[in-house]
Amino acid sequence: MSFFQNSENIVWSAPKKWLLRFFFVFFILLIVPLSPGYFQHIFTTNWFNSNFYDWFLLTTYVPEFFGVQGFANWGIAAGVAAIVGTVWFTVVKDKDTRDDDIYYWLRVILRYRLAIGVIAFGLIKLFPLQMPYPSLSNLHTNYGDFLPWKIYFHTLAISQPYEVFLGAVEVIAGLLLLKRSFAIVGAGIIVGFTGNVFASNLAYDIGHPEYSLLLTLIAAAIALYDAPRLFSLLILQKKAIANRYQPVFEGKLPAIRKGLQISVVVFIGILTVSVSSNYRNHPYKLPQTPGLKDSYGYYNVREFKLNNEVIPYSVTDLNRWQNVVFEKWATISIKTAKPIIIDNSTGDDYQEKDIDRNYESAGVGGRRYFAYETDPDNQVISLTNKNPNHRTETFTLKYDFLNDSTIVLQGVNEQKDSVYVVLDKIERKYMLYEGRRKPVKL
Amino acid sequence: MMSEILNKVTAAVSSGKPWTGFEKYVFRTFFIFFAILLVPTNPNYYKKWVEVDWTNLHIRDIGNLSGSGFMPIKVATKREGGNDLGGFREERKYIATIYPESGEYGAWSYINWGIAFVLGAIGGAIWSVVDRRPRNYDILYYFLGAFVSFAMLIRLQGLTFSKVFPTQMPDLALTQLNTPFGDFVAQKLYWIQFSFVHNYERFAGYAELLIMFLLFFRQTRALGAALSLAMIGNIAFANHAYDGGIHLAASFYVVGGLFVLWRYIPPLWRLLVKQEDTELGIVYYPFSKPWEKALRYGIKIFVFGLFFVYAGYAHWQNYLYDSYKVPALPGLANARGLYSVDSFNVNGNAVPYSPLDSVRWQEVTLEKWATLSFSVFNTFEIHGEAGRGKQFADVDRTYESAGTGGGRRHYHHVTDSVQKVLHLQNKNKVYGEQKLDLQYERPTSEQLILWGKNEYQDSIYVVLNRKDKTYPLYQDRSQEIVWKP
Repeated sequence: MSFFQNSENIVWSAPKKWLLRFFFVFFILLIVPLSPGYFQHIFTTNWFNSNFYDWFLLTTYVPEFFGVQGFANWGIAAGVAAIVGTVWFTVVKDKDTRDDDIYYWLRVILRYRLAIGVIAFGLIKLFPLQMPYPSLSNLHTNYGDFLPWKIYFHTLAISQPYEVFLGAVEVIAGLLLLKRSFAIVGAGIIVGFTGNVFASNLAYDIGHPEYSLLLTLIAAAIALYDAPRLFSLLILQKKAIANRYQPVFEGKLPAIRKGLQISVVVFIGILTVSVSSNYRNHPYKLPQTPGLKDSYGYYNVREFKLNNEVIPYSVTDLNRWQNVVFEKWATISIKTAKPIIIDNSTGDDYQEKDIDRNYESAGVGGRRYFAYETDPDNQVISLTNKNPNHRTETFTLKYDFLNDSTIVLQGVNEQKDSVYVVLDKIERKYMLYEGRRKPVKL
Repeated sequence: MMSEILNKVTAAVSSGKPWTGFEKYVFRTFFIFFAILLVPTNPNYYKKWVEVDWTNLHIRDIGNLSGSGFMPIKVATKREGGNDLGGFREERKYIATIYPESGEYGAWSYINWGIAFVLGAIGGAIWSVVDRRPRNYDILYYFLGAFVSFAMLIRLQGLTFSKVFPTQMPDLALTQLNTPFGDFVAQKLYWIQFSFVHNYERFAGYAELLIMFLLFFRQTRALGAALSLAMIGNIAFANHAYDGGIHLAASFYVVGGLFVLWRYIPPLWRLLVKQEDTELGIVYYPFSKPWEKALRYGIKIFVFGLFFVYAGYAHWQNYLYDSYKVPALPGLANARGLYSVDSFNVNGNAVPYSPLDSVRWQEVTLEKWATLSFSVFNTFEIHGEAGRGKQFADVDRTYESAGTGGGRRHYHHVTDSVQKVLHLQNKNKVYGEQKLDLQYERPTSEQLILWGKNEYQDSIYVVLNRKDKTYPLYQDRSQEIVWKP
């Protein structure tokens, strides 16, 4: 149990020296941006006219060596680290004090990398952007028709205070990491928090297992430094020996150190301001263009004609519209019996154009989602299916509000078939909104 | 009176440097507070230890033996079903019942803890007036911490093992897969998000099992307290955020966890933040006499045997043979599925499909077990039960139906396969009197025909055809997924 030995100074045995060098190189390779794409992002972004996601992307770096995806990069990093670490170990004979310094600087790099990573993800929950409230169309989708990741996101999103709480935990843990003496507390919180995120990533197929595991691993590596002390104090219940190592900053180091500290604080400041501004102005996962005035709601399709032929209510006819949702933004969703190839992305990146903001339509079947553009002069909306697998599906429809709850749409689809639909708004209640605190009838 | 007895007990175990007056007062307050909260005063609780069938102990019994809360005041709601106890028999007597506006989810639900704390503060003051001698409570402090830790781990067994053997969130019912997201109450959505990822449910169960183990040993108690504070504290917050309803049970791990952890915080602070060499300085009772040793090991072995080993075994058996939230009676053989309603006659007249019809059924599901569900375009009173607890009768096992609306109706049924009749009973307790007897026929394995009187005493004749439905919820995102109705 030499690992758990709590002594005044770390005894640098040969295996420990090798391990230190291995992990130093391994973590540097996983943390320090080396991919061309990362620098391309830095040099092609107009930083004076940037949105929060440009800044956010800087925090989520994971290496992709030679275009390899996923955990294979870890294997490459480990292989390189084993070679470089071994050469370093055999060629350069450092004194024990140097080992303490190397270990210290590794912890510094890990702490700052982890702090920035978790603060960024904390901020997009503190300002609940990561999991926006489920759209009305999604409320009108059967539970079994979602992909697992979408259920996980929606379940968090329906309770915004909980999402904010989780974001606050991440941000606070990240801030603790910035202070050396509190790092163990922050790292301890993150091991649990991000470890759970990793497990849910696997369970719900969310798509960031490498990143969440990397953050967990970094947190564990930081906590490891104090593990022997804690083991001695809590488990063995013997006298625990505190940290003796104090870094020495000489020459230009103090100035560089100050400069880096200030730039990290400034970076976090910019990120906070830009994230909150995105949340207040136009949450990035939702389309920006407002929908047709007073159209928001759920509609029954009372009448449906295709090429002037009436098709009665049907749950099997592939063309018959069954019901329609108008969102607050310029999206409508239509339920039909026609099969849908589901958009397998997770809609989690920043997109400028509304049609590409596919969070509402990704990972879910049951309804066909259309982004639309409005020509108010001619009272025409042009619909395009948001799903990349069905992008060719379009409608050009003239709209007419007969009264405040009836809309008539008529026009043509992409095959020049004429459609005519009469929509009646249905006022209905939702269990999700009614809650459990009062008598409910619905 | 009580303080005199305590004096005798504590005098025997007091040694070392006397505590300050303030320290003594705070300790006495918490001592009384936790004693009130954790020592069952309900005589029925002790009766259960005698009356329970020890040869055939059910998970329900283990839960009953795990403890009994202090609850002089009942916090209730007036909405129907809101006070559902999940199969526990109401056998307490309350001094008062209150109906706060926030229902049973708001701050008022903590009133009994408040009372216990006020009693502790008053009791602590009286105790301090009566007993002015120098005291050292190191040993008693240790015992109180151990007592709270054991109460925590014992009360955790049900939640732990019903996740390790996934019965707390059993498989989704087909009716849930075919209910729109907006027609579930938030509490239900929080709950069922585990019902299709049982490995994740097990992972949470193992984490809770780890907490139980860590709290069991004095060497790991600090870690156990910290972990229960973080994990179950998070669950407590979530229960408030989703009106989940078990916030009291979960919040206890915040209070208990903080109390147990409290004495470790100053040494941890000195060691890690101020970077000074540190010792815990916890004084343990020596357990030097043989009978003391025997008693200590006896208690530990008993707790481990009953609340770890046997509780685990009982939950495993429950998982295998009678998952406690799922109706036990099997449904029609090989009839599980989603059915389209292809023909529906009322009093001999065909009713064409319309999404706005309040009588014609839509989206019929039959479960593996004896539940038949369908939707109609109508509104119904929603019963306020949460669909949890360890119910005896199938009709009360409402995990699949509680907390859902949107015109979906759920019927438990008993099948008479000789007369070919389904005896249906509405699972929504508001409509519990609604009983239908429907004849059935299965011309093919994919078709089911039902006829008889519906709840409005009209004759109905229904032709159902099973759909070939796959659910994206169970698909792999790396493959192309095609949704079909």
